[in-house]
Amino acid sequence: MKRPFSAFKSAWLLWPVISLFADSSLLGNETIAIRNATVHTLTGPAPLENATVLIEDGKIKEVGKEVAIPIDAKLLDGTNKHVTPGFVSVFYPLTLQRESTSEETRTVVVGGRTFTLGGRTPSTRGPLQKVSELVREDAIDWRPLLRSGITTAHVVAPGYAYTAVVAPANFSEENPSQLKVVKKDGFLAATITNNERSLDLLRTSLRPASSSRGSRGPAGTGGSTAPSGSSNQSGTASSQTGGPPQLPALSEEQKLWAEVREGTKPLVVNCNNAATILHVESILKEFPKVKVHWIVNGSDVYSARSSIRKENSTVLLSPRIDLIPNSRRRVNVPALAASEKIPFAISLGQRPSDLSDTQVSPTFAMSILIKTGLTEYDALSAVTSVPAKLLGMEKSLGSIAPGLQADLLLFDGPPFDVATEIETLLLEGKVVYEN
Amino acid sequence: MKTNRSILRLWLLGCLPFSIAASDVYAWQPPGGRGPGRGMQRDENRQRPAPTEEEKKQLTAPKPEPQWLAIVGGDIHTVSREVIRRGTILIEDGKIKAIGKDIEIPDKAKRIDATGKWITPGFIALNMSGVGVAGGGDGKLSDEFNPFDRNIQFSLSVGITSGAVQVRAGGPGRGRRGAEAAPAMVRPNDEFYEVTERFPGFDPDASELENSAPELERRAFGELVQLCPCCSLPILPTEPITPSPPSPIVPQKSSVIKMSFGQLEGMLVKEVAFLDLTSGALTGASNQLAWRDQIQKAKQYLKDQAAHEQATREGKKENPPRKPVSDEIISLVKKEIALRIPASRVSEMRELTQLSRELDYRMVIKGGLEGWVIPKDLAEANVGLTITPRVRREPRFGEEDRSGSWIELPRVLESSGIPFAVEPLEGAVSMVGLAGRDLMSLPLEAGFAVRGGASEAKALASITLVPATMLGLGDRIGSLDVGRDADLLILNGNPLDYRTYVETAIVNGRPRYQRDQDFVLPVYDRK
Repeated sequence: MKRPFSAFKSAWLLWPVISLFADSSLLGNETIAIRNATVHTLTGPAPLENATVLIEDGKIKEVGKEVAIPIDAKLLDGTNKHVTPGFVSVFYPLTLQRESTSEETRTVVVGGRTFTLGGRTPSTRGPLQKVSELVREDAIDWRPLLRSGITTAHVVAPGYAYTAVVAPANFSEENPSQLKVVKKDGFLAATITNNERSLDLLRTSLRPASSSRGSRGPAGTGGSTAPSGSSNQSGTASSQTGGPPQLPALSEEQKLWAEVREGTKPLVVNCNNAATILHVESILKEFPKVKVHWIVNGSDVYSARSSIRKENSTVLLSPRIDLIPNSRRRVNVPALAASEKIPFAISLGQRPSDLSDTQVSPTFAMSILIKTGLTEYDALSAVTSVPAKLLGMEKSLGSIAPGLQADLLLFDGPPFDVATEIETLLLEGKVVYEN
Repeated sequence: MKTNRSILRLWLLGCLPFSIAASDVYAWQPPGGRGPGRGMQRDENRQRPAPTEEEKKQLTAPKPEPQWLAIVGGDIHTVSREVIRRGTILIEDGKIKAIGKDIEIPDKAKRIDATGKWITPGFIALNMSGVGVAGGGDGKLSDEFNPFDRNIQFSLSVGITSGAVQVRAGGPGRGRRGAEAAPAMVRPNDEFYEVTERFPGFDPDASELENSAPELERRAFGELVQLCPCCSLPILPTEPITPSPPSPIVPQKSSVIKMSFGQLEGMLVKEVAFLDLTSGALTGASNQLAWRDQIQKAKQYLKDQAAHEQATREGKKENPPRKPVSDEIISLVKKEIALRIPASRVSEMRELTQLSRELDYRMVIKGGLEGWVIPKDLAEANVGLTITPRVRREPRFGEEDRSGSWIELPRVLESSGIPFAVEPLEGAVSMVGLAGRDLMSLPLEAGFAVRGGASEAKALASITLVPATMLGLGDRIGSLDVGRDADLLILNGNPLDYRTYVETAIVNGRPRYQRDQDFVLPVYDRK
C-alpha cells in the first residue's frame, strides 16, 4: 500500500481515482479473457483453435473452447492470433556486481572455432557466487527481453556460481529494470575448459567429502572467501552437536555438490569447446547419477554428440544455424538433437545482439530453425515448457493450464512465422506491453 | 668404466624378480609404459576383496560384444614382415586380431573394402608441435588434450596417426614431477654454440663467412659480427669473464599422443617421449663432467631405491632415498626413454656416441647431416638418427670430402644398418607459405630418402616402425601384426609417392579420417 499513500501525499484530491486504479492493478484481481485465439497450451502437441484463456488474480483460471467469461472481464480479441506462454530464458548470462571486469572472459566464435579472450582464464575460480544474493535489484533492463517475449530468466553468472531464476517486478515503462528473484536456490554452474585447474574443480568437488579430504574440498576455498559467518557456523554446529570429530559438518557448498553428485539437482556446465565435453563426460563416468545442463555451442554439440550421455544431459543451445566444424556446411543442431533424442532446450537472450532493437521479429531465429527441420512444437516447447521443467518450475511456468502464472504472449500470427510480432504481453495477468 | 657397468648389470639382474622397475631395464619397451594408469592397476591387483553385489552383477552380465572391423582385399605392407597381397586385417576392439590371407570374418564385423589399395601402419612423427594439445601444457597434460583439434585432421590426412608432440617449452612447469630433484647442471660453453644461440639461424660452419675475408665485418641476421683480420674467424661479442650461473637442463618436453580424432580415451600413449637436450648441451669437458655426474647419480639412486624397497619388505623403516636428478634422467637410465639431441657435425656426433656407449643409454641423434662420414662409429654405438633428407649444408672449406650434407646419407645409413627415422622440416601444421615444409610433408620427406638411395621398405619403416622403436613403442605401433594397435592407413597408392592420398586413417580401430567425407584434402580422383 505504499504507492497509494505516496500518491495521496502529493495529490490527495485524486485519491479515490488513484486508489481504484492502483488497487486493481496491484492486486491483479483484474479478470482478462482472451477470446477466439489459437492457444498453444504446451500440455499437448496440438494447439487449441478458437479457444479462450481466462485469467484471474494473475493466474490462468481456465483454458478451453467453452469457457464462461465473467461480465466484468476485460476482453482481448484473439481472432487470427496465437497465444503462447511467456518464454523462459534458460541461460541468461549476467555479470554480477562483485566481480571485477578484469576477471571476465569473453568467448568469441570465429569460423566455428571458439576463442576465449581477455581477463584470466576461466579456470581461475573465485569463490562461489550466489546470484540470488549478489544480483542488483535493477540489474536487468527488461525492455529488450520482454520485447522478445522473455518473461523469466535463469541467471547464470560467469565463472563459478549458484544460479537463480528472476522475473520482472512492477514492470512499467518508468520502472523497466526492477527484478525479483522467483527462485533463490538454482543450480551450481561452472565454466569449465580443458585444463587441469578447471577440471579439478569438478573432480575435487564431486568426490564425497571424507575425513582425510575434507579440508581440500570446495569448503576450503569457499570458507576462506565467503563471509566468515558461514564457516564459523559450520564449526560451532559440529562442536555443539558433539558429533564425531572426524566428520565435520558439511559446508553449504559441499551440500550443494552432494546434491549434484546424487543427481537431485543438475550441474550447469558452461563449456568453451567440444573437447571439454569429452573431458567432463570422462570425469562423470565415476559419478553416473550426475545430471548436466550443457551450455555449449551448437557446433561443439555436433562434434561431441556421440559422447554426451543422453539420459542425464540437456544441451542448452542458442537459436541459430551452426557451421559443421572445419567446414562450410551448416547444420541445424536443435533439429539434429531432436532427431537423435538428445534432450535440449533453446536459450533465448543469450547474446545481447539477439535482443537488439533491430530485431523486429523476436522469434525470427526460431523461425529459421523451423524452416530447416525443427518441428514447431519442439521449438516452442524448447523455449517454454522444457526450460520450465529444467528449472523445476513447471508448476508455475512454461505452459498454459489452470493454476499457472499468466505470463502470456499474444502473437499477431503463427508464433514462429518470420513476419510475426508480439502484439500483447501479459505478466502475471497484467498487460505490460502492447505493440 | 667397464667394471662399473657389469656391476650394475649384475645388480639389475639381481632385482629382476621383485622390481618392476628393474624389469624395464632390459626391455626395449617397459610393460606398461609410464602411463598414468600403471600405479592404479597395481593397486587393483593387490587388493581384490570379495566382489561386491555390483561387481557380481557385472561379472554375471554378458560381456559386451567386441567391435569388429575387417579391412578386406588390400595389399598389406606390414613393415615388420613381408607384404601380404590381397589380404585381410581383422580388428577387434582397437587391436589387430588377425592378419593374413584366409581369415574368417565374424558376421557382425564391419567391412571396409580396400581392393587395389595399399594398407600401411599409421605414420609416426617425432617432432610435432601444436597438435592435439590445447594450452601451454602447464597443468596435467591429459587434461589439455583437444581431440577435436583441426591439426589432428590435417595430420591424419597425410597419414600421421601418432607422434611425439611438444607440450612444454622449458621452464619449471606446474606439472613437473620430482620438483625437489636438483636439475642437471650443464652449461653450454662451446663457443660455436654461443654464437648460434645468440644469432639464431647463424651457422658458424657456413663457409660464406670464411670466404669473405676481405670484409672485416659482416651482417649475419641483422647483427654485425666482427671478423678477425688475420684468421677471419668471427670475433665473439665480449662476455663478462665471470661465468654466468649454470643453466639447468630443463628439457623441452614431448609426449606421445595418438590422433584419435573425437575421442579422449587412448589419446595419451606415453607421457615422456624423449629426454630432449639442446644442441651443444653435452659438448665440452665441463658439460660432459656434469652429465656423467647426473647419470651416475641416477644410477646410484636406482640402486638406493632397490635397497630401500628390499629393506621395507624386510620390515625396516627407512626414509626413501632422495631423488637427486630429474625423472627424465632416471627414465633414461632405466632405458624407458631415449636421449634425443641435435648434432650434425662429425666431431659432435663422435663425442655423443662415446658418451652413450660409456654411460649406457639409448640415444637418438637429431639431424646427423654428416652421418655419412662416420657410419661405422654410429653403427657400433647402436644409436638411431632422425634425418630430414632434404636439408642441405655446404661442406667446410678444405674438407669437402668429409663434411657437409650428402644426398646419399639414407643409403649409407641403410647399408651400415643404422636405424634412421625421417622427420619433416617443421613440426607444426602450417596452412600458409610453401607447402611441403611443414608437418604434412612427412611421407614426402620419406620419399626423398628413396631419392637418396634408401630402399622403399626402409623409407616406409623410417616413418613407421623405426620412430616407434625410438619411442620405445615398437610393440604397439609402427607395424601391422597380431596384437598391435590398429593404427593403419588405406592409401590409393604408394605412400611415398606425391600423388598418393590417404583414403582412410584408422586409429585405435576406428576410422578417424575419410578423405571423401572430411574435406581436408581434395576429394576428386585422379584419372
